[in-house]
Amino acid sequence: MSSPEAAARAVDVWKVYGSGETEVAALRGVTLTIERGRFTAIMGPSGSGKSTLMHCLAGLDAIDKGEVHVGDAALAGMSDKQLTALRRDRVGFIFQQFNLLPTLTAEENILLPLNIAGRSPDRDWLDRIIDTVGLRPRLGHRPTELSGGQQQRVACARALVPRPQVIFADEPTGNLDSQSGAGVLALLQQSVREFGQTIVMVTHDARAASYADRVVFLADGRIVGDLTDPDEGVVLDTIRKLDADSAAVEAA
Amino acid sequence: MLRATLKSLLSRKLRLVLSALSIVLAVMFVAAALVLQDTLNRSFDAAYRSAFDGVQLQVIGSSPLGGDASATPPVPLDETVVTAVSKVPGVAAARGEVRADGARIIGRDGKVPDADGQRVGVSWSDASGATLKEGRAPAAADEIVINAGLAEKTGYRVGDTAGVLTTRPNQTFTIVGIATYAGRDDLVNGEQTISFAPRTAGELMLGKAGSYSSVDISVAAGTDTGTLKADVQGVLGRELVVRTGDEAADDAAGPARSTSSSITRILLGFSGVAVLVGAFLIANAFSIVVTQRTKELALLRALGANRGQVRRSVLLEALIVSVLSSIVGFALGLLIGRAAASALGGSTGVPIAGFRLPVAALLVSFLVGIGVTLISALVPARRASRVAPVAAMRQALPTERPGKVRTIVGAVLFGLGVAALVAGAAGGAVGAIGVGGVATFVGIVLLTPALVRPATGLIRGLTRSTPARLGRLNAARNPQRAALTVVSLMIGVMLVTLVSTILTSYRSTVTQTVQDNLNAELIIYSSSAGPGTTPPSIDPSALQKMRQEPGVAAAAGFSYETARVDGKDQLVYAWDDVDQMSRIASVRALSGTIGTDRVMVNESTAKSMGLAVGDRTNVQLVRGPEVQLEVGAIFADTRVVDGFVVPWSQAGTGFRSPQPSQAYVQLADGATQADVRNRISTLLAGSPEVDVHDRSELIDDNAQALNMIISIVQVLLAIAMIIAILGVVNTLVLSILERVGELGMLRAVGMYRREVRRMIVTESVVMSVLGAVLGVVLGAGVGLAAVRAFNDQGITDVAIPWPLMLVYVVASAIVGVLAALAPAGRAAKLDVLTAVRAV
Ligand SMILES: Nc1ncnc2c1ncn2[C@@H]1O[C@H](COP(=O)(O)OP(=O)(O)OP(=O)(O)O)[C@@H](O)[C@H]1O
Ligand SMILES: [Mg+2]
Repeated sequence: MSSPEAAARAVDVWKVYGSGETEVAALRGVTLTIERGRFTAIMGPSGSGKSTLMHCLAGLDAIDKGEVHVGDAALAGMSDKQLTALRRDRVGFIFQQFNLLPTLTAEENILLPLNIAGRSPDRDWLDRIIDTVGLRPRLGHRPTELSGGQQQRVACARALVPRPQVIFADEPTGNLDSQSGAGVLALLQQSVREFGQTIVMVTHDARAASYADRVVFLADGRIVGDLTDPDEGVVLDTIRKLDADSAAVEAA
Repeated sequence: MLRATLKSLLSRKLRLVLSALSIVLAVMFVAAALVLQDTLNRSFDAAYRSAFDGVQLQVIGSSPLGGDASATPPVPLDETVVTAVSKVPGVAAARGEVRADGARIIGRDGKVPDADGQRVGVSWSDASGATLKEGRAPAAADEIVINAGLAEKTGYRVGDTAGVLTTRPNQTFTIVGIATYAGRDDLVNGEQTISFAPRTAGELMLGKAGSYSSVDISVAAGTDTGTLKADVQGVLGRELVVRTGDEAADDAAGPARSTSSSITRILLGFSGVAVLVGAFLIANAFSIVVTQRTKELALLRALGANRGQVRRSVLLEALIVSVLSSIVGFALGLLIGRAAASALGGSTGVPIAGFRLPVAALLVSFLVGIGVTLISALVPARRASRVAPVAAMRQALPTERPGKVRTIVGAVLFGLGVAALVAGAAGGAVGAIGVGGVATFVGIVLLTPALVRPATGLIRGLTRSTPARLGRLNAARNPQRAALTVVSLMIGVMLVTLVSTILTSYRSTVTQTVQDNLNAELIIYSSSAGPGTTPPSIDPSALQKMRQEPGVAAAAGFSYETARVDGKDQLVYAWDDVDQMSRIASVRALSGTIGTDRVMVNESTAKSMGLAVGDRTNVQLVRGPEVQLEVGAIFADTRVVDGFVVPWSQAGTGFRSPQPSQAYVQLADGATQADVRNRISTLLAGSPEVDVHDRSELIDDNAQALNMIISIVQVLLAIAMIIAILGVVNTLVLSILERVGELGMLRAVGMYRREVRRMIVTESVVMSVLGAVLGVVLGAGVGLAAVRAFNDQGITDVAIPWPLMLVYVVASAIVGVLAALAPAGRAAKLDVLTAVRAV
């Protein structure tokens, strides 16, 4: 079943929160394949299910129906321990809040996932990542001594260093000004192009999405659009078109 | 502001419960101690008052050492006092009576039966409320009446003969009657009362035939007792004391009261520690409250609340918590105090007084509960009022740094404290040790925030795994907060180490002395002295016979007693045979000559008292007039005997018992110890209170008494630990709440649940072990200084209780693990997604 091309796969995934009156179907039959070595962006209005989809793909949240695979591993029926091991070995995360440990230096934060997994870093690779994110002079600093953009670059390095099969980033530039944001996005793009890293990124920002190789549009828990190698203009057009569609649906 | 305060209170239930619990425990101990004391005292008073019902006014001699009339033997009064009193107008009748502690009957088994109260010898008199249940009153010198309770205890019946120890050695009496007191089997529950014929009583109990311990007055009809009391006092002068029946009862209740007050003192000591530990815990809880509420407080400030309002809102929260906790604590203390009183009363047979709300206990409990809480909350409240309005807009809370001023003050205090300890140790100044100990403690308390980080750095090597390393770093993340937790753990460990160090040194001194310096293979003493005030006694004739035994090289008896020497209360000793004692203890004169007729003082005592041979000292013993004694010899310090030694003849007239209470026996060369021991035991048949022991038994008995004290202190440690656990739990739970996002991230990037648990447990263990190590070091340090200072008081050996110290540290580590169990479980169970979203 599993194709060697897919870093992660969702097949007819349903996710329902709550029950009865308060029932919300966050995902309604989403089928999506994340290809290896590509930079995929997920866009959509607030509440459309972007974060939910990402959490389900990453094994952070259980689904109600369908299948999720990370690489060749099916997540269905995995215990908490197995899921943890899966995340530890195959998945990387970049959060909107940079989420660094204040007690550790930048370097220690970067090495944290490897330390937790008990793996020793590949020195050359580590050096390359550190140079790519441009943090060499800041390695001994603690997060409170770094700017927001620098902190997010530490978080990117933290996700990149273990070379996970796939990195999930939920609005990684949401808390950054446009210049720092551009730096982080360029970094993510570079890691895909040069190192063949697979990245899935949720974003609200058409400019951010234009760094990706592919943009998937969600609305109301369904995939409603899929663009390849988009530029900012195309993304904005698509968003406008989708908005008009949903307005039309609501008006009808 | 009140509504905002209440809302913030309710929204943090857990913290509320934890900080409240420490107040509850502290108040509970205070209340229990006070209620117990109140209840027992009222019970004893009631029991003795009913016993002294028949007494309206009473004349006694004023006790020569002053102070508590019950602690010293009665002053013998003679017939002239009775005559003088009867002549005072308003006196219907005056009757000489004898009542004194120290009449010990020997049971059928040859032993003195256990007593729950005093063992009293009295002169028989119907007027004292005694009724004969059986038999008749004692008339001849060798006849006695015993109380019904004692008859039941010993199984003696009218017509039996029994030995009785008084100020005289064992004499045989015929039991001619059994008495009850207003229907009760005992005059006072637990008391053993032996009634002698009136003339004999004075001789046996007071050492003077025809003397009385009191003159009881019947007040003539129509005369006011108070007026008469003054009149009689006027006639008799200051040498004698006139007291009412109630006052007499209260004095008689003294020994029972003092037992209850020593229990109360122990409990109050416990509550003191509970309060101290609780204070740190409360300070901790409220500083966390303030940290967590920083944003809310800043918002309040931004919306126009002034500093005073913010401070008051924190103090108001403290007030509400403390009032509620004090109510609960007091209620629990009331229950425990009553229960303890019933248990203790039950064992003595005294009926427990009815319930009464002890107002003093209530006031003190609430004062302690509310006062300590408010004082502990003051600093956090001040910090809260300093929150700047802009903090509402800031993202992260800056991590706190230990204050510079605080650290400097701490270091200075610590330095001064150590200096005082060293000086005190060198100069034998116990006062300096106390001051130094407190200064060192306060210094450490102030220094701890600055110590936390470097201290956790020291154990870097022990925490190699990532979870352990993160836990260690987390422990030092908030030095101020960690310090409060560390200190609350430190207090208990410090106290128990301090006491253990002193007692271990004392024990080691005793062991060494007995093993290396005591030239006596056998020691005669009582391993179970009763609760009365009369010391056990050894029949002098038995000692005399012992000296004639083949196999005995020397035997020396001795007694000691509190006395006033040149205006200062101290222990004085007396040896029944100076020559033999000198041989056994290797006494060597430095100046003057060792002899039986003058005072002997060892060198260091002489130095501290400023005495030289030929000096005259004024000595007031517990009996008799003050005497002037000349110093006849200064002898070199020995480890066996020392102090101010008065001639044996003085013990005969001035000590409570004219007989020795302990004795050393030295074996002749070639004698078999077991053989001599058997023969001595036989000789001691008439001295049933004492037994023959060998050196190791003496050491063991001593050790046992000390172990008991150590156990009591360890209970104290346990209480302190329980409260400290609350502090650790509080700190951990709140740190976890603060770090939910971090925990979520760690779980997301692949940290297993058990690793999360290990991280939290490490944080807890690091704090508790740091507390224990500080406590052990501080306790041992102050303990050693105290031991050095006690050198003159006879603790010559310095012994550090290493095994106990290790146990305390390990116990603290276990406490750390236990405290972390629930918080760690909670952290591990956090749903990863919720945690990630919480950021
Ligand atoms: N834990 C939850 N319980 C109940 N409903 C939830 C929960 N998490 C998400 N939802 C609902 O599921 C839907 C999808 O939420 P999701 O967070 O995936 O949206 P999103 O596209 O990431 O939105 P945003 O752009 O605002 O982050 C929303 O309607 C949300 O209210
Ligand atoms: Mg989202």
